[in-house]
Amino acid sequence: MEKGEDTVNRIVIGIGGQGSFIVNNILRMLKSKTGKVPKNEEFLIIDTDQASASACTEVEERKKIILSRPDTILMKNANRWLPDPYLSAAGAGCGQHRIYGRAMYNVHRERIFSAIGAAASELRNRTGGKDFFIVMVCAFGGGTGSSMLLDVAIDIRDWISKQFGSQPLIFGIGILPSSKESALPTANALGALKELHFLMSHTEDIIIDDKIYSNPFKLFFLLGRDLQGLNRDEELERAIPRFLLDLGFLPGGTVETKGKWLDLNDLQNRARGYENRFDSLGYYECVFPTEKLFLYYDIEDEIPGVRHRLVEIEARISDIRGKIESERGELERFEGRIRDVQRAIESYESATGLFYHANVAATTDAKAKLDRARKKLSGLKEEVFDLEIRASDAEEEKRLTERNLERLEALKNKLLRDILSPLNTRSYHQIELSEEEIRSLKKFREDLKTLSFFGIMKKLGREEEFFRWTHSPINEGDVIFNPMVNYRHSIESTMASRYIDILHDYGFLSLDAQGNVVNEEEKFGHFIAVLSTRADNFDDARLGGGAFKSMVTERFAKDADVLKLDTPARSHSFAIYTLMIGLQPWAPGPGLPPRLRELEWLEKAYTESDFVKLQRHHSLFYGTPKPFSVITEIPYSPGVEEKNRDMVTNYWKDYELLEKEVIWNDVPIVLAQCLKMFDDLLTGLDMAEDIKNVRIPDPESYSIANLTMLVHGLENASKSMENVRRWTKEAERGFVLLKNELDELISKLRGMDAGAPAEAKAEKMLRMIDDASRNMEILIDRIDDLSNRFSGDIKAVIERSMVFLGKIPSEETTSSVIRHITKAESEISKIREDSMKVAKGIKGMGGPLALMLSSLKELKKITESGELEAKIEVNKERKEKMKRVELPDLSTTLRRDEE
Amino acid sequence: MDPLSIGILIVALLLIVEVVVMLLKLKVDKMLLLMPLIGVIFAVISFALNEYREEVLSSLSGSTPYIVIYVILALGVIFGLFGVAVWFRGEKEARKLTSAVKSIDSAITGIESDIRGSGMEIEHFAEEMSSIKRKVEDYETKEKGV
Repeated sequence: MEKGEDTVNRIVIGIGGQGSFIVNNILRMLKSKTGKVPKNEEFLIIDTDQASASACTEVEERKKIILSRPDTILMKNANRWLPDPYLSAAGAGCGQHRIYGRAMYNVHRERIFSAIGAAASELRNRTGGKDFFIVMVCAFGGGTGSSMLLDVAIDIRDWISKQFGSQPLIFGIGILPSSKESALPTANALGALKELHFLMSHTEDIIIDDKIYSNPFKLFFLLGRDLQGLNRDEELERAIPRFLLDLGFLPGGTVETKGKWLDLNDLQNRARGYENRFDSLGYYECVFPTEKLFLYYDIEDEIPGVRHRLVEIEARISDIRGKIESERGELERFEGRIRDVQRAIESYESATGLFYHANVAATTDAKAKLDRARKKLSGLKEEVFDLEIRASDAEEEKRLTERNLERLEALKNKLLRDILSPLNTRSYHQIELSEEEIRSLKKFREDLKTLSFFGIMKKLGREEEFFRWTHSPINEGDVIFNPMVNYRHSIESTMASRYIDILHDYGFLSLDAQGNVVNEEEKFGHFIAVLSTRADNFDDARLGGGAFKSMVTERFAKDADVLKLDTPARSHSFAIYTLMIGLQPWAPGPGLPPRLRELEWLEKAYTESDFVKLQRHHSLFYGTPKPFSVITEIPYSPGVEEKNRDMVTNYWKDYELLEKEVIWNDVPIVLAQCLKMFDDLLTGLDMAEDIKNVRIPDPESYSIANLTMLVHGLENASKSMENVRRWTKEAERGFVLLKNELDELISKLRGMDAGAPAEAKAEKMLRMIDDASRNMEILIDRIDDLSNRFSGDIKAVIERSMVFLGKIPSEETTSSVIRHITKAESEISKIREDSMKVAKGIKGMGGPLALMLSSLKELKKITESGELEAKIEVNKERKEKMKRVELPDLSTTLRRDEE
Repeated sequence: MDPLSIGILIVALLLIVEVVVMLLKLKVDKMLLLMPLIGVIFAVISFALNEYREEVLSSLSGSTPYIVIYVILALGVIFGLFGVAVWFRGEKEARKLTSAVKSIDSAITGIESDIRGSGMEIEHFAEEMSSIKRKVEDYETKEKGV
């Protein structure tokens, strides 16, 4: 990007408390970087909380759109659909009720509009440019930002398009709540995500009542407030402004970079095709602590001077105190003298007669002077008193300053600790320095300012470490794993390896060069790593950007790029910003955790709300049933506000953050589960079959060894029987779950109008279905056979054992033999009892298996024909249950039991 | 006119000058003016006696009339000189008192400037210490920023 006049108008809008706070931060950082706000930029905040808006001191007062709460009558008049409990809000702002935020938007829409419109017109007049780049920031958990974001975005896009004839480029930034937040903001976030996803999924313009209902965002970045349980608010506050400022999106045209790199047009092109998916940012930075070092050195130099000065001040104050004492004595002495002189003057004056002469003028003058001196003296006495107090104050102040000095000492020690052993995280690494290095670098203090990061590390003889912390995160791909949301890039750790093997065998997954599991369908769109530092910190030979790109494209993203951003201002830091474009938040398969981990707690909080409470978590389409009806094709009843509102709530309740065609990705996983379960069943049946093979000695050849062998055999058989009994119970449950999962999948394929799968994929799926069906048929036969003869086989074993026990000669029945016989009889009784349950269990498996077989046939039919019925018959109760239940791992149970 | 009369007249004139000076220039007490005035009167009497010696003092023989004239003149001079002496004594006393007052005044002024100096010094210390405090706060702010 070349330096020069940039006519793209930029508007940054923060909505709600958190959004406004972030905009304030951006503005502060921008001012500290450039000293002023460029003429092509406007910063606006929209908030319903006066106190929160007032705290945004960097934002001009006239750019703060503060929406006051109207009285309940006005609120009701403007929002007939608004339920009475939400006519007012508790607490500050919208009281975290999105429905109230929606109503507030309806009341203040014109004001918001005119304020943003005025800002846009001002920009247009100032720059002459008609292109607009808008960044909108808000938190998803609150009531104001999350409820107004979509409407503001749509309105401002439509207005700018109409006024200036050019569609603005809008980026959205949404902050997701942390797992520690309460249910209200957490559930709000899912409500906002659902609405945002709904709008993002609509790429075609649908114009209703002069409003265009389509995705206004080119990119929408989701950022989380905590990662792996650690609060990242601080990082978030730093990363968002720095991302926008360092990468040159703000301030436009003045970014201090050289060469061509990622500009707004590039970014738009890379986002093409992924507008309906989410995006996220990653941030990693390695720094050399130059600023900390300089501060440490400054403090280190300052402390002795301050201490020396304090000693001097103490001595002087002590002198002054002594002087005050002596001066007080002097003043008292002079008071006496004044009295004496006064008396002398009086007697001089009073003497009259022939032999006396008094100089009246002199005495008058002396008296006046004396009087003045007396007054001065009394004033001085007060001053001395005052001075004494001031001296005491100064002493107190000195003691405070000593404490300040202690604080300075503590600060110095803290800095030293920070420099010696910094608190490094996965996204922030500060180079550690030894005390010797700190001392040695002080000599080159001035040189440090001009030296590059690499230059300093070279001076310290730590070049390899520099490359390890700056270039290796790219070479080894570590930066992939630092998005600012809890995002799972790989399905590997969330899926049993046996499923992966099956999916791999059928060609749905592949393995990359490092042996990692790759699912082409589940890769996200673009991964762009932007390295921002001074040019001489790069070593192209060591960077290996090509290797990084191939690693990322092999495993995670459809496309990847590494861009170097020569930022002269960043001489001692090496920042890596990652843009992850086209993230899919949903789970890669049924029963698996979502890729966006935040969804786990958002969904949990959302589903805890009953229907009445659910409406406080939603905003879009409340009060506008007509566009809702046109877009969703669900008919509405004009004028029946409550019914329409409940219809919208119901729609959002059932809305899933999922693309229709993605449902096909679930098919291979469910089939892999079927195949795995069949394998496990075969193993289980083998085990059941094996029980009858217990070795029973010949009753005619009794010996104590044979008896011991029989008891041991019966013990093993009893254990196996008990295991098989437990296993049949688990298997039955597993079958029911798998059957439900299969039915659920079929319902979704039918109901969501998922289209037809790709031909190659369909072929593989059909092969899987055939194999699964064949296995099932084999299993049904085997179960049928085994259930018919299992009881008979076990009965035979029991009978043969009883015969052996019955033929033990009576003269051999010592106490030890009796103990053995008792043990054998007890095991036989247990086997008999369990065998009946096992036989019943094995027989019971046949039913669900037959049902599953029919489901598989149905699935085959859907896959083959691709003709999907639009009938939605989703068993909601089952769906809710399925969400929380995992399929039992029968193989593990078996292995454990075998052990 | 004989030389004695001229002499007496000069003395009288000198005494009149003394009265005038005392009255107009030195502004002495009226009581003290009586002295030179009495002196002038004695001088005038001695002048008159000298002038009308033949008529007034003819009864006296030899040099007695002269003795009388001289004695009266001497009395006039004594009165004149006494007046001056009293004035001097009063003035001396006044000067003494004035200088005492002056010394008190200057000593107090000295103390005042000392106190003011100490006050300013304390003020300076307070400023210096608050600048140290500001510096510490500044360092703390910087530390948060790095």
